Amino acid sequence: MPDLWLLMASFVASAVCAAGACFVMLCSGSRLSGPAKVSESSRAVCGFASGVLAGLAVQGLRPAFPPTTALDRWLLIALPVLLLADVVASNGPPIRRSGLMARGLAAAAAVPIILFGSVHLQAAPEWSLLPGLTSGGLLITVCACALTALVATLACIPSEISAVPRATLCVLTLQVAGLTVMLGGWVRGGAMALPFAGSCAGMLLTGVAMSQVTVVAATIRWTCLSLCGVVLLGHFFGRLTWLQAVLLLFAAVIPPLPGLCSSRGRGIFCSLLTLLILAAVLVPALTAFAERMRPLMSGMVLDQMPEVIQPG
Amino acid sequence: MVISRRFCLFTLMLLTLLQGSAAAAPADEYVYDAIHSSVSFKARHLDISWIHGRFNEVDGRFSIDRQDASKSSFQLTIKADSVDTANAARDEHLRQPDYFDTKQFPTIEFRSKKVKAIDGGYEVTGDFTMHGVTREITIRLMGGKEIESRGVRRVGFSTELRLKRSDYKFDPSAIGAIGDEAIVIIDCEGMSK
Repeated sequence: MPDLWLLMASFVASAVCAAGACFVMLCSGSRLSGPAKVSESSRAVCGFASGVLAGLAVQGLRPAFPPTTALDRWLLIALPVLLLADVVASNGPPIRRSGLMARGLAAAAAVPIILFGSVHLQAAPEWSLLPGLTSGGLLITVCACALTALVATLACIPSEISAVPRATLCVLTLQVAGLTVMLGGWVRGGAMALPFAGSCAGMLLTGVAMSQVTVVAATIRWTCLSLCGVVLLGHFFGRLTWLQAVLLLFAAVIPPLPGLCSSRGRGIFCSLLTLLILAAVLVPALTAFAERMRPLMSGMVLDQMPEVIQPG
Repeated sequence: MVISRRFCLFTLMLLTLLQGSAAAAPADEYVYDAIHSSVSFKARHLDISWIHGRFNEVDGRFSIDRQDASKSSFQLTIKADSVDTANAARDEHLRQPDYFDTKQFPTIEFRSKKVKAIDGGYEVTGDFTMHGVTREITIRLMGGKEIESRGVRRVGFSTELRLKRSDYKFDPSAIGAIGDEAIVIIDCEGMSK
């Protein structure tokens, strides 16, 4: 069973650390000019990374090197590559072709990195949809295409202060994803989402406080990238179902989609829709968890034998 | 006297021939009999009692050279997904990355490297791979008696080994209520035609 205080402590520690580091980086960066000037989101990535590291340290989660598990490969290889690609892309003019290509390549590489050496890539070599395309190859292709499409969509998020509620919903979705993975039985995999959610929350606070709209947009992008990691790991290595995975990604993508939730009325509708989807994921997961855990709960066993221990 | 000398010479030649043919005889090959074998384990719960479990899908091969034990070999492959502790919820948790991580590390394997005959069995040194970590261990396989039943030759072995989960890079946060050390009990039969 997860230690709830430890999980909350890791969330708070990562939020505080990310907010502080982000503030320092943004303040120091604003004094730079000319060729040394880099985008706000590039500076904010240091805040995000320090927040994640602080949260993971509170949980006592240290990735092992060489990374043999999917979680280690996500933390040590895939996520840094995705963030680096995002930082490189965000330093150029918006939606520049090279930036998009960097993001797309990083997203496409993330899937095989996560699945490396697992049973998903070893299954049924005789099965083939097309000549030379095995089930593992097909799986990588489909997931990589989906992730690349998502990253390309996220790159189009406009930088505006009105995006704060959407970013908040994305952070909430990330927390729900982590909780759902935990309820499925993989405690460490779900708990890993909280430092990411905390860092994103900390970044968002700093971005709002300093009116840095690009930081708010970066928060949405990185929250969604973190969510992709949690969902991929939870589905392929935990017990997150396809439906739960798709719903969680859908819930995260709805609010930031440009044009979809732009007006006030649409924004409220999108928020309600997101909350409804999150409830549709979380409530059945909680019910299934309670059902599964019932035989293991000692209190339930004791309730069945009230007459056994009688004082006097 | 001549006859006696010839008889001795003949006996010596016969013995030499028999020895030669015995040395050239291939080792007996056996396959793991899943019906009459079990790989079970137990681990401490809260340091007051034991939780028992077993692996239901195991495969293996033994090659036993009765004349020269060092030419024998033992292989065992356990499907980690088949863990069974008589509680579905716990088994499901054990399969996930907090414990065995069966999607990443689907099998637990033992491959012998060195076999030595000991009183009542064999001392087998080999590579034990679990959770992606390979360590050299030495086990004492007791038994080895062969019988023939319904046209099938059978040989049986038993062993018990103690493993520390921390040695195999299991998640340290999952070591607490369930003890670090696990005792693995292997009772197996091999079949050969």
